Order: sequence, then C-alpha cells, then structure tokens
Amino acid sequence: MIRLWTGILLALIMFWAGAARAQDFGATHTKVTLQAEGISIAPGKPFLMALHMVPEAGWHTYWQNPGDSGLSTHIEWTLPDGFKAGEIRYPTPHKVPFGPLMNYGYGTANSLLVEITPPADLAQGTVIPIGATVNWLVCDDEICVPEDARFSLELAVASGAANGDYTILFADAKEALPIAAPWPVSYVREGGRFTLSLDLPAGAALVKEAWFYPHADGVILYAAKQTLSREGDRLLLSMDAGENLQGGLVTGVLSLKVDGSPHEQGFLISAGKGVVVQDMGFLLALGFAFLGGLILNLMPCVFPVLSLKALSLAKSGGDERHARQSGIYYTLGVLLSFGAIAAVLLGLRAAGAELGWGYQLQTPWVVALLALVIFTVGLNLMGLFEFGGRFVGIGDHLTHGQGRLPALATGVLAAVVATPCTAPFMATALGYAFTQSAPVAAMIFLTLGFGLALPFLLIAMVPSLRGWLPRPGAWMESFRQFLAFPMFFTALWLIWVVGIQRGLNGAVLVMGACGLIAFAVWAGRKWRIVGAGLLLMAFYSLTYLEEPQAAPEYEDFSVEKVAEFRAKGDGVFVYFTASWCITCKVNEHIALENDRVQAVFQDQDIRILRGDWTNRDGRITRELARHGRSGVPLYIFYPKGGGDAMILPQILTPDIVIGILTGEGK
Amino acid sequence: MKHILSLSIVVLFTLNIPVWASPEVGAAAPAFSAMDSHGNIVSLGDYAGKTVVLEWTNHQCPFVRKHYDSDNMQSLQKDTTGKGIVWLSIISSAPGKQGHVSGEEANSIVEKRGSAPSAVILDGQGDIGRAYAAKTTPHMYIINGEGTLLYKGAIDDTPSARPADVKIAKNYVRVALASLAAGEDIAENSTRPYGCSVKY
Repeated sequence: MIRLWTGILLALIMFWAGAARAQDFGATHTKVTLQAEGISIAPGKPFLMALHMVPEAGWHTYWQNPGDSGLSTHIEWTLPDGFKAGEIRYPTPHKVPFGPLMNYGYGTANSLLVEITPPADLAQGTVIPIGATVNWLVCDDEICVPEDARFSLELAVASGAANGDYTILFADAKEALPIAAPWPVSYVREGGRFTLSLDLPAGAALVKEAWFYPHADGVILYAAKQTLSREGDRLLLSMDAGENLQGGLVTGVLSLKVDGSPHEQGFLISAGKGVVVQDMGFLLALGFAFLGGLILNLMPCVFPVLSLKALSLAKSGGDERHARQSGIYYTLGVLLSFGAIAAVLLGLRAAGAELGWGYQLQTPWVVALLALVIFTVGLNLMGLFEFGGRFVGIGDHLTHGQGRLPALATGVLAAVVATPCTAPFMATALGYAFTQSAPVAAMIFLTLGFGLALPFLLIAMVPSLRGWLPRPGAWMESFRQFLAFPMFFTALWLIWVVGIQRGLNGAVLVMGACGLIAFAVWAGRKWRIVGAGLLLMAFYSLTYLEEPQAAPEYEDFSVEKVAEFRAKGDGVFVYFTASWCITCKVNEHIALENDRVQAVFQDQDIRILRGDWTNRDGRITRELARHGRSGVPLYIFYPKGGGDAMILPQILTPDIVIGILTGEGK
Repeated sequence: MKHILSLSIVVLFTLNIPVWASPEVGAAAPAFSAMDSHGNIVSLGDYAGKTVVLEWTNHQCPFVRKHYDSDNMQSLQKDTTGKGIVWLSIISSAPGKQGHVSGEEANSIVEKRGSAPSAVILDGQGDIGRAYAAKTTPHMYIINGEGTLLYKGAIDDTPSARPADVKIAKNYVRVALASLAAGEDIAENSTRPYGCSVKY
C-alpha cells in the first residue's frame, strides 16, 4: 500500500518537475532588466537597448565566447517590420577560472548593448512594441542554471531624446565596451604556440598585465598562461595555441592593464598573420647557441680562464683519470651555471617581466658586480693574491687545483665571466630562446653552455690534444699576468656601461669599489679581518648606485641676467659650484636636488642661475669677490619684489634652503 | 651534483607544461583502467575490436538533463549498444562536487532514467577526464576497434539547455556512427563541446 502511494507521489513529482522543465526557466540567480536609451524613437535613427544583468554574488554569466564550457547569452527580438536589431555588444570580459578550465564572463553587474535601427518612414506618435526573449546561463562554483526572461516595452515615435533615468547606466555600459585598438596587431602560430605581436613603442605607458580573449574557438587553449614580453618596439603576448586555427584574421578582445591605472582597458583587435619573427627552427637555434658558446671561448672575458685551466692541465702531467674528471666537472660547472641563469631569467619571464638576453646588463648593480668580479679575477691573474686558508678548495683553481671541486668552480667562474660577453650567433639564438616555452629555452641555454665548455672538455678527455699545448715553463707566469689585462679592460668596459646607466658618479663609485678590493687584497695578506672588512665595504658601496636625481632647472649665471630678473620682480637663486668642490656636490645632492626643495622652487617661480667655476672664469671670480669670498660654494637668494640679497650658509640642508626661499626660516 | 642538474631540468620543464594535451583525432586514444559502478575494473583494452563511445556525464547538469529528460540520450545508447558498440558513461566529478555519486547511486540513476550504457565509470580523481581533456558534460568521444580516436566533441550542434532543441539538432554521434557503419570517414570529427564544466 505504502509502495503504491510512494509510487504515485513519485510519479506526480516527476510530472510536475517535468512541467517545470519546459521552456520557462525563470531567473533566480540573475536580476535582468531591459532598457532603451531614449524615451522615444526617432524615425531612421538607430537607438541602443541595454540588457542589464546582475548575477548573484558568487555567480557569473558568460561572454560571447564562453571559453572551455558555459553558454553565451542569446536575445531573440520581436520587432515590428522594418526594424533591424544588431549583434550584442559585450563589455570587456573577465577571466573565470575553474580548476583546470577557463571561462570568460562576468561576475558583477554588466550591460549588453544592442543597437536597433528603425525604418525611416515612421509616423510621429506611433507606439512601437518591442519584445525580447533572453536565454542565458548563470553558474557558480558548483552548479549551472539556465535562465530566461521575457521583456516587452513600448516606445513612442518622437524625437528620440535620451532618457534621463538611464544616462548613468548607458554611460557605464559604453565605457565598459572594448575600444578599437589604435596600433597594428599581428599573430604568429608556431610550434604549438600562438603569439600576438603589437606595434607598441617602448616609450608608451608600461603594460603590466595583458590577456587575450579570442572570439573564435580553437585559436588558443583558454586555460594556458599568457606570457608578456617586449622586443624593441613590439609587445608580445604568447600562449599555447588551440587546435583549430583557421587561417585569416584572428579577432578578439585584448585586455591591458597599464602601470598607474587601476582598471583594465579592453581593445578590439583584428590580427592578421604576421611574419614569423625568428625564422629559425629549434635545431638551427641550437646550432647557433653551440657555435656561440664555442666562440665565447675566444672572448677576452673567457679566454684567460680557459687557457690557464688548459695549461694547468698540461703542467700536471699525465694522470688520465684526474684530467678526465677535471673536464667533466668543469663542464658540469658551466652547465649548472647556465641552467641557473636560465631558471632565473625564465622565472622572471613567467612572473611577467619583459626581458631578453642582456636583461642582466640592464640592471646597474649587476653590471657593477660583474665588473668587480672580473677585476678581482684580474688581480688574481696579476699575482696580487692567491686564494688561501678556507678558500684553498675553491681557490687555487686557476693554476693548481686538480680536484673535482676546483674544476666545478672554474666552470662556474667561466660561465659567470662569460655573461657580459656576447659572441656572434649567440644573440640570434638567445633572441629565439626568449620567445619559446621554458623547456625549449632551457635547452638552448644549456647548449650554449656546452659549446662554452667543449674546448676544455676535449682537451681534458683527449690526451693527444694535450700534446699540442706548449710545454710548461717559466713563461707561464708571465702569460698568466698578461691575461690579467683582457680582464681589466673588460672590467673597464663594464664600468663605462655603469657610467651610461648611472652617470659619472655611478662609474666612479664602481671604480672606488675596485680600489677598495685592491686595498682589501693587499691588506688581507697580513690582516685577514681588515681585508674582509674592506671587501665588504666594496660590495656594500654598490648599494649607493641610485638613480641620478634631476638637477634643478637652471640658466648659466651672468650679472646681466641677475639684474634682468630682479628688475622683473622675480625671486632669483644664484649658486656657484665646481666639479672638484666636494662640499658643493654634497650640498647639491642633499639640498638642491631634494624633491621638497624643487617643489618650492617651482611653486614660488624662483629663477635659478648657476655659475660653474670648474674651469677658470674671471666673471665668477669677480662676483665671488664682490660678496667677500674667494672660493666656492656660494649660495645667494634675491627675494621676490626686490629686497636685500640673502647669503645661505656653506653647508646646506633642505630645511635651511626652504626656510630662506619661503622667508620663514632664519 | 648530478642530482641538482636533473632536478633543475625537471623544474624547468614543469615551468611550462601545457595545460593539458587534448588527444588528437587519428591518434591512439589514451588507455585507462578504472572501477565501474558495480565494482568491476573496466579498461579500454577490454574492448579491443569493438567501437567504443565515451560519454562524460553529470546527472545534475542542466545540459545533461536536456538529453536525458527528452529520452534522447537513452535512445541513442540503446541504438548503439544494440549494434554491438560499447557505451561508457564516465563521471569525473570530484568528491563533494556536483555529479559525484557512489556506485549504488549511479546504478539507481541508470535504472530510474532507463539509460543503457555498457558501464558507468567512476573517475572521481579526474584522471581519465584529464587524459582526454574532457571539459564539459556532455563531452563525447568515439574510439574504433584498433584504439584510434575517431571523434571528439559535442553531442549535437545546438548548444542550449532546452530539451526541445534535441529534435531539431544534428546529433554528431549518430552521424559519426552511421559514417563508420558505412565504411566512410567521419566528416565532422572534432567539434566544440558544450555543457557545464566537468567538476574536477
């Protein structure tokens, strides 16, 4: 009996449930409304309709391409004859990841815009009924619910004036639409990777984040990471390609986030097939990397290391096993170092940094560090010091070490000193590497390392080759010292690079650090602690490599200019300085280039005149004498609107200067 | 030292493993072996020589219900299994997620709905789903007797959740199996699947 009733009950429930599953899904998880932009329609004038969708918190609706799963929104219009409804214009979508899948959609309120074009022959005052049946899918993390809604509204034919109630709604909707991209975009599909290339000058605002939402399916793998990198004037966005890339144009929305702006901006792009940037296959890149590595051995940075190691091998006599071990561990050292460099650079690339080979040379303190290391190796070659004590295992590697650890260390050293050098073929191979996936790029780096290590490996493994090396003798010591000079010149080149990056002060700072190292090396021979301390100072001084600060905008001093500005009633600040005057430079650095002081200069519209006494200048000498001085520095302030000249103290602080400039200080 | 080298190479490779590789049509279909709703171990290799249809399903997903409420899926299953084709329904929902069921629950759903799969495979860890890059429910695959993947994609060409649409849609699976029976190549062998996401 109970079974019967349960059965009937179940049947009834299934029947009801069946009935509810008919066309009408209802809209429980999304609030949807349909509005017209105008309070009326003008004949022949297209007008906008907004479908405003507000998903429940934690739920989302979908873009025109929903991604791995999901369904986009559909609108079926019921319009009188002659009315045409356009395609839905979607706002810039967002990523909605779900486990290993990726969808594109909206988790917050959004409006879909549709333009409807009325016929030109409409009688004024006619009431136009507009109907729409909307179907969409709304999902949260757990479930999906298809929903629908029906709308009908009526608009009269009149002037088509805007409806004040919806001004903000439509303004927001239009602002959220992606705009046409102002720069050319092309794409390349190669080796399972899809890369978009934008002609965006390097000087343009810094793009911090980017994501490409294609319109069509099969262009990319939706859940794949998209890597941003820069190559000169081009911005590259690279990701795994999808399976069905039909040729022709690739369209979609590119969402960019620019430094300094909290919101993304979507751009509608239409990318044509571009020229393959690196028209180089993987094998060719490997070949180039290998050649480049070989040639690196001839570069002044690496050659000393290589030749000394080779000669030490010759000197050590015939122990085959040791020789082979040396070769293998040297190679291992080189490969490990290149692997580490690759890992760091690829890690940075994965984190979104735009980089290429030479990235390490774009950071001044890395260049400075390399300069110091190479300088130190030069000192060692000169014979100024040998590694001793604790370092005897790692040190002594250039001439005496035959063990495994010294060989490994030499390999690492060879790789390190090779980094500032580039050889022919290397640049193209590495350029290719940076557009590829991590394993491919790593292979190319390791091949480069292998090319670098090969000559020594061969010498170590093949005894007959060693026979070709010159017989050891006293000349080896002179040769070793001779090899110090390529190192010194390399260090000099790197210091010049720092000079370009951080100005003269930066370059001198590094030279000073080199001086400290030489000092440390000499002192360390007798007093280890002093040596270590000086060494630390040398490296610590590198932290002072800062951005050169902007000098205040000034004109060159002349007595006439002072008179002219004073006659106009401007405030004038005159200062005399010289490159060899340390007090002057310190004052300028601390006080005059200070941000707050600069702000006061600008706010008060103060004219700045600078007299440079680095070289002889009679006029400046006379002006100094006029104020009772015979040397620099001298700081004079003539206040606005006439008034007595005020002479500032010899030692400046920002507060002193601001006080005098604003008339509030002493 | 050598360990560090191999470790670093491994690390570098994991930096960019593609999300997952979708098996290619015309290539060997990934092998699998898992428990079905009756507690038996079922492997793809068990069906060598027979055509196999894989159907990713989630009984609570509205798109799956579209095909079951309209009896579309059941009749397709009966027609195909009647011809000696093997039909495997695979549930890759993770425990606690929508669609995850125990063996008994799966069996009672099969009975209630009158569906006719050869077996219902419980893939709670999502291994088979990931091997096939199954993204939606439903997501269909057809494998021939030699183990080659012949079709992957949607069940039909009308992505919607309306049961009424099954009557007007072109059912890719039916068309593909008919082509196979006639000894012809499958014209549309890779289509875009639609449905709820598989709840890994």
